[in-house]
Amino acid sequence: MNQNVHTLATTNQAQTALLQTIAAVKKGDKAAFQLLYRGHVNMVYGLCLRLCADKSSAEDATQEVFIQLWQKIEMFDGKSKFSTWLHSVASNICISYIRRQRGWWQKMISIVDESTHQQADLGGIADTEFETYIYRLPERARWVFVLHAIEGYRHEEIAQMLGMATATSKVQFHRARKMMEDWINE
Amino acid sequence: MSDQNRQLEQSIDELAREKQPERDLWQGIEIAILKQHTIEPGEQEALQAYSSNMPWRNTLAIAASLCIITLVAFSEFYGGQQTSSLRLVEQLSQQHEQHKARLLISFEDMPTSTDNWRKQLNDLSEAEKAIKHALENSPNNPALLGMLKHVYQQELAIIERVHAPTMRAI
Repeated sequence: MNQNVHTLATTNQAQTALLQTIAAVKKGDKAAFQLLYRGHVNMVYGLCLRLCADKSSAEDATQEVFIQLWQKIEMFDGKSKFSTWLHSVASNICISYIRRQRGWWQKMISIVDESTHQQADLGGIADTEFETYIYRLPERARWVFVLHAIEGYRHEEIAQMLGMATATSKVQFHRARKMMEDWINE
Repeated sequence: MSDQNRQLEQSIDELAREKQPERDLWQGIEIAILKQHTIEPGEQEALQAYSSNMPWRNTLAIAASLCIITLVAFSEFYGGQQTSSLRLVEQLSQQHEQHKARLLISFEDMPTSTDNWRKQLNDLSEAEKAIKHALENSPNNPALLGMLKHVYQQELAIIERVHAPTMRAI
């Protein structure tokens, strides 16, 4: 009981501190923003890495998330948890980052040698075998798998994020899941 | 639920949601958000000196040399898809020009921190021409494509840098 009360008090204090930090960031306090960054960078980078399947792109996307967060923080109204809001903002920014990056240069590289590019991207980013399977998934299937199975978004939300039909999101998810199950079974 | 299903669910549950980036990303973020910072008199001179000392000429000389070497080395190996690759290069160039024009328009009324940035852009434009000329003979050459991409990135970086001084972050 005492432990629960202590945990609750600590949680409330942390929440209050977070809200104070956010309020300071809204006023343009860069030191407060750095605190916010330090507290959330690993969550954002983890998400970006799973979506990008490439370390360098994930780093760039993470930077873009925080640069845009600096501009968009006014939009956080405190109605939801900050981490939930940031997660949603980060997912959208990361996907739009990937789309922008994979424009002409991606097409070029795929003309030159797609297999080498894919192989190079997987080097050294997976800590577990399961992560290797995630990064091996085809792009759209990976996005849907990551957003639905790991990040907990509904197919309707994913469809909106990725600009696809809800049914397509479901199909991509089952495709990804089947591939993952096959790889686990190998 | 099958064994594979169970295993998959377990793997998802056990997956580490957070990952630590290998390099510190804060510096780049800080520089970007400091773009709104206004330039002060002492910084103006420092920035000017910093920019005028940038070794663009050396970079261009190296780029030109690399163009020639890579052209000779790779022209034997890539024969197919020349037309579509050149078309893509052309479309990429158009896309870049549009991006650059939008950027220049957005900074139109802002003061610049150096006077020679147009010259730097012209130098890079010369490098772009040399690379594109080499690409005509070797359109699938990844080294040339990489160099063209680098030149485009440098052009945009110069435009942003001279319009958004960041000496406090350096």
